[in-house]
Amino acid sequence: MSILRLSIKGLIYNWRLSVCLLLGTFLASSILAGSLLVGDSVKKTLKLKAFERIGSIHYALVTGDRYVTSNFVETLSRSFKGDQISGILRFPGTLNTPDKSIRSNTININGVDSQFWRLFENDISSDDYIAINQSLAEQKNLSIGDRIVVKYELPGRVSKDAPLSGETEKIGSISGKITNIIRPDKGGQFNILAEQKSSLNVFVPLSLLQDESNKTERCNLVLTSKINGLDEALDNHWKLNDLELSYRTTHTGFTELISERVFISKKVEDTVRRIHSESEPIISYLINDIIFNDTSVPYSVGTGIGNMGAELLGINPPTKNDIVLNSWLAENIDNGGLDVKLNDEVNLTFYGVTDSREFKIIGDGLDDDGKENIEDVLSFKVTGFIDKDNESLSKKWVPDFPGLDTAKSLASWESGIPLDTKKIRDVDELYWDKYRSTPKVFMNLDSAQKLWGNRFGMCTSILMNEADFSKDQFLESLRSNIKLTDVGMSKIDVYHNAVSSYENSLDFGSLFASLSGFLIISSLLLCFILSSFGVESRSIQLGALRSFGFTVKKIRLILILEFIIPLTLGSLFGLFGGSIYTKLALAGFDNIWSDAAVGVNFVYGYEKSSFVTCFVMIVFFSYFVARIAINKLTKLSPKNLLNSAVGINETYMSSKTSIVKYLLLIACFAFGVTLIFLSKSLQGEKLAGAFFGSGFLIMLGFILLFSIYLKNGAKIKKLNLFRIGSTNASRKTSRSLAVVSTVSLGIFLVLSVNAFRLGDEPTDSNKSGTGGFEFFATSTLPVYENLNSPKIRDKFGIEDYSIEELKFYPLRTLLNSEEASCQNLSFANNPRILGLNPEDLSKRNSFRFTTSNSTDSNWELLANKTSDQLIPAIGDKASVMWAMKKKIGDTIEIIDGSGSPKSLIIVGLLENSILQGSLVISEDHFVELFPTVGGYNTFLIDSESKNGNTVSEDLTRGLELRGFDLINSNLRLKEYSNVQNTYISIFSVLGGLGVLVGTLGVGIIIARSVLERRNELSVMRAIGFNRSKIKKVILYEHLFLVSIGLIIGVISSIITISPSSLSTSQQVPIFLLLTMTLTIVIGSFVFCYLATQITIKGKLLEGIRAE
Amino acid sequence: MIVELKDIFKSYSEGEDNPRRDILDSFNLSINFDESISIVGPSGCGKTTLLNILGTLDKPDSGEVVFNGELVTNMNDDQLSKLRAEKIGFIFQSHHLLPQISVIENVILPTLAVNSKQNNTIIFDEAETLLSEVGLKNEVNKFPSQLSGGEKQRVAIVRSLINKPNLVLADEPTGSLDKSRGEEIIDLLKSLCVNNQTSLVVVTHDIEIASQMKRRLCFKNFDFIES
Repeated sequence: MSILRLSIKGLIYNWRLSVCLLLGTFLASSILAGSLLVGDSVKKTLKLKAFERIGSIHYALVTGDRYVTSNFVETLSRSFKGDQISGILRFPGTLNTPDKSIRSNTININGVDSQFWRLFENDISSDDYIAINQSLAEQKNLSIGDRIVVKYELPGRVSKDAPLSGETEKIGSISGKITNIIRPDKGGQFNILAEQKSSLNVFVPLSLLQDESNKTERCNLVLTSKINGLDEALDNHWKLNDLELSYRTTHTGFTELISERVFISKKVEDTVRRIHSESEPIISYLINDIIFNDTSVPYSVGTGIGNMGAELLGINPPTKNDIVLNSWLAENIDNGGLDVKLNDEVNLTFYGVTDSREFKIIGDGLDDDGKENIEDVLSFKVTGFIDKDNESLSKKWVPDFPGLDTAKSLASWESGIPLDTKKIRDVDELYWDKYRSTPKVFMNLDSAQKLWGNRFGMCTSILMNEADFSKDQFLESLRSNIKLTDVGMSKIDVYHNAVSSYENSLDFGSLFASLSGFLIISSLLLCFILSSFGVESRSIQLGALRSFGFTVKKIRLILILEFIIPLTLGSLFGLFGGSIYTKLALAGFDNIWSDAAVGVNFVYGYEKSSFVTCFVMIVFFSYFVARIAINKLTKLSPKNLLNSAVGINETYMSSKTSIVKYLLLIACFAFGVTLIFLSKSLQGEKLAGAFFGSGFLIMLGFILLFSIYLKNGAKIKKLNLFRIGSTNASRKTSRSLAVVSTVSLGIFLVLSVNAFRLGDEPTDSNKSGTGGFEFFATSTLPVYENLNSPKIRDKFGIEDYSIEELKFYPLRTLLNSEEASCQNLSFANNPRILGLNPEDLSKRNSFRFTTSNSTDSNWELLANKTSDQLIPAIGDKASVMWAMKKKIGDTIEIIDGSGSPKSLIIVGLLENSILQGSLVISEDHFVELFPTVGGYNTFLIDSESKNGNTVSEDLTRGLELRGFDLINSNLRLKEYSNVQNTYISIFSVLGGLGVLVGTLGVGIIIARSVLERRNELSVMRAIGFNRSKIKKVILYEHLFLVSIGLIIGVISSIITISPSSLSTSQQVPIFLLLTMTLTIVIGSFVFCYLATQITIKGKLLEGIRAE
Repeated sequence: MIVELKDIFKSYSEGEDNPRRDILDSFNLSINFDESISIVGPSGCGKTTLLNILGTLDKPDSGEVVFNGELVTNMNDDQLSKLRAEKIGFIFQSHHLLPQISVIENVILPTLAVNSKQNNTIIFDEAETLLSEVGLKNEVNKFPSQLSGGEKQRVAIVRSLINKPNLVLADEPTGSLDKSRGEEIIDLLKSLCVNNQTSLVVVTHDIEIASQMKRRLCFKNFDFIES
């Protein structure tokens, strides 16, 4: 005989209790393990997807709008023999079948080499294939042998936003039969961005795409496996042409550094001038008109020069307002000249390019509205002439603007600038034939740079004296001073980002655990109730043991040993239950909860640590609750334990306890209400904490109030069955309070969480989540044009829509970025950034900011940087809070276009909007941060047309080549809302189960009460109460408790929800809440009735016989 | 002297609104080794309270309880438990046998409360001997539910003696038995106490049983008076 044996005997003898305890912990453990395993499964899925995306890629060099040479990639490969390095070309594009029956607007076309396939352990070695990935094949129902046409924008040499960048509408295409369908794990899902959304990829041999896109021997993405010392190698191996720079010999004794991109970036210019002091920038630009008196010469090139340039031309360096003219201009008007002389003043006009690729004539003396503006005049004094046949005067002062070399005539030059060919005279064409683009105007370098410099560069070439100049040394010096990241390329730690994307992804484990929290708590509460009853039923035995000399510790040890076995076994078996729960939840994600899965098919996965965590936690907490139950009873004196009345009636509350309770009650209400008001100024998890904290405090206040009523006020004043029943509740206050607490907590959680279910809001309100915009659109290829211009509409075939009917609000979009919203389960390392004109939205007063006292000027906050140069950003509340884990006032670090870290500061949060997933900054700041990102890829569209479908069809068709993808704003908002609503649905199901378990506890309490009062009930039977009346007494008692629980839960929910719903104009789904409350009420009442019915079924009169 | 109550005062409150009721007031009692005492009185007079104070299950409001020369009133719960385990045996009106363990296990149950490492075999032998003495030799492996009321009470008596206590306290040990069974139990109890040199205190309503004890405490005029 030992303590252990005694415990085991107790365990076996009280097997019903043991089984119930086992079931209770099994339930809690199943739910917790299941929740954690859901998290593991989501992580495993995201991990699988992340590595499907990247294969064995560790790093990527993203060249932005630049192109490195294949030679650079080969040099790197030679430096790291044995490692995989692949240079690829990747463009966004569209795909369709020749009959256009199948179309996809958002594909990526990848020109890849054999090294690329090795990164994915794929053995494709053919040089003749068109492969698509499995996702694209499945989504578009394509198979091997199907003919497809892939279209993409032919890359220019320079950003289409840059002046003189040439035509925008050059589309390349590749067509052919599909030869391969690439599996996801073999490179099909290739994407360096951390988005679990399937990429739609088309693969062709690198050389094919290079040739087709006029980017021979060029790549825009370099991928490598794990390589040590890559950074150093990248910066040590590039050559001038990897920066799209080259030398040009123009003048004896001088070498000119020019760029394929026309403009040389400021970084390069500054560096060259620093490392080679005998250098000087030159800037050339197209002048619209050179005007003298009433005569003008159209479309000439002007060049800004410094001292070196002037020396070469044999002229004095022009000062600020000086101008030196080609002698051709001095000729008489008949010969095309201006008949201009020394010291005459000539005026110039030229096209300035605004950020939206709109052209504005500078120097014409008119403002934007066409009114006279005397400040807009560019007047220069002629200080010299250069002979038109001077050897130094040639077209080599001018960069190779796109289309310039191939233009047969001046009028046919596709400069990208709207040339008015009617102005071009024959003499101008004669000049063109003879001198081509040789400048007609030379001016001061600083003045020229101020006029023609732009975000792409401040010069078009750099003149370098060849004395003491060594190309090798120059390159070395350049390399040591310029990193690739300085010129807009970025090295991405793809592997780290991939790992971070699933490691830092939305923690579904915690989410599910918190959604299941009430169910877990209910299960543990059930264990507590069972343990309490298990101990209470043996109080006399325990008293006897105490009288035999058993210490309290020893008795507790006996009971704990007895309880710990079922608790441990229940926790252990629960791990298997959890596995089943997870599979059911994953099945739910595939079906009814698919909105929360955002298109991901989850695979089952587990971490051993989850099992261990769950097991330890449930054993600990169940032990804890059992221990509370045991301690509560065993702390009673042996005398009290031996008194069989223990546990039936509790002692009256002492006045001291009463005061404490009153104080607690006041504190709960006071703190609860304070928290409600405080919550208005809180955000994120603090807001959630304050919301639920206030609710719990208010609920606790009401429960305390009820406990005081039970202790003091529940006395029979008028005798009837209900009064007997309800006053019975005061006999075991802790038990009654357990019932009330469970029910009220369940009701509170289910109602308050469901109050935040997002409904459909009217789209016509600018203050709604749609901002009052009818459509939200994205384009695969940037749209450079102003879609609000009638001319441009005409070009795209949407000229039938007036500006009143259809207005576009374009947003610049950082494309190599990730959606940071509930639609992307992976963690967005580089949240998507949009650039818009704050004035536009401010005028419309679009979208609702989270604070109720929001003013119309919230969008204006974007206009100016903070005093510490932080760039203001506005984001959707849900995205910022949950996906980015930030709040107002927090900063977000980003890498700008030149590879420098920059900080955005959150200055505003939008309430449930279509801008979820992005951070919005002002367009000016966007252009400053990402000068090379051209055009617009996101559009908010205001439509007055009654037929939305027609508008949608017309726009999609008109902008087909840009990959225009249009969605009704309300639908887009609903897609986001559905995710949140699905989480709430999951919570409702689990919370509902929690309430069910809670009412099961009520049932057990009823059963226990009946058993405890069996003799009392027998006496009632003996004195003439029929079974029905006895049933009513029991039923009334517990219905009374359940009703009080319901009332407390509902009132606490209303008090807590009201302020936030009033302040945010949140649409509280009243009908849904009423339905849920009614369902719980009916369910609880039915359960109480059944429990009473079952427990009272025995022969009550046997009790009186026993008496 | 095995136990001595000195100037004991004890009162109870029955609900917040009711005044406290004095149960024992300046009560004194001494019990010597090998003595048997009966406590007789009507319901609610405080017999069980007195027994509980003697058995250290309850503490007086004032006064001293001295057990075997040691002052009990200042002992902590563990010390009291040790005292009860080693020196005091209890018999209740209801036997309070644990239903989940066998007769012999119930008998040796109090040995688990003693911290000394006792030889299990010896304890079992002793228990068997005691059970044989009360005529339950063949019932040792049965469970309480398989015994009659009298048999259960005999097991309870044996259980109270297993740790060789100096004092056995019996609270209406025959209360749930018929007269002949009751007498049988009292005889058995007395003889076992004599054999084990144990003092015996019996609370009873039954004058006949009370008269079988060496000393008798009767409740008269709101006090226990030795007669």
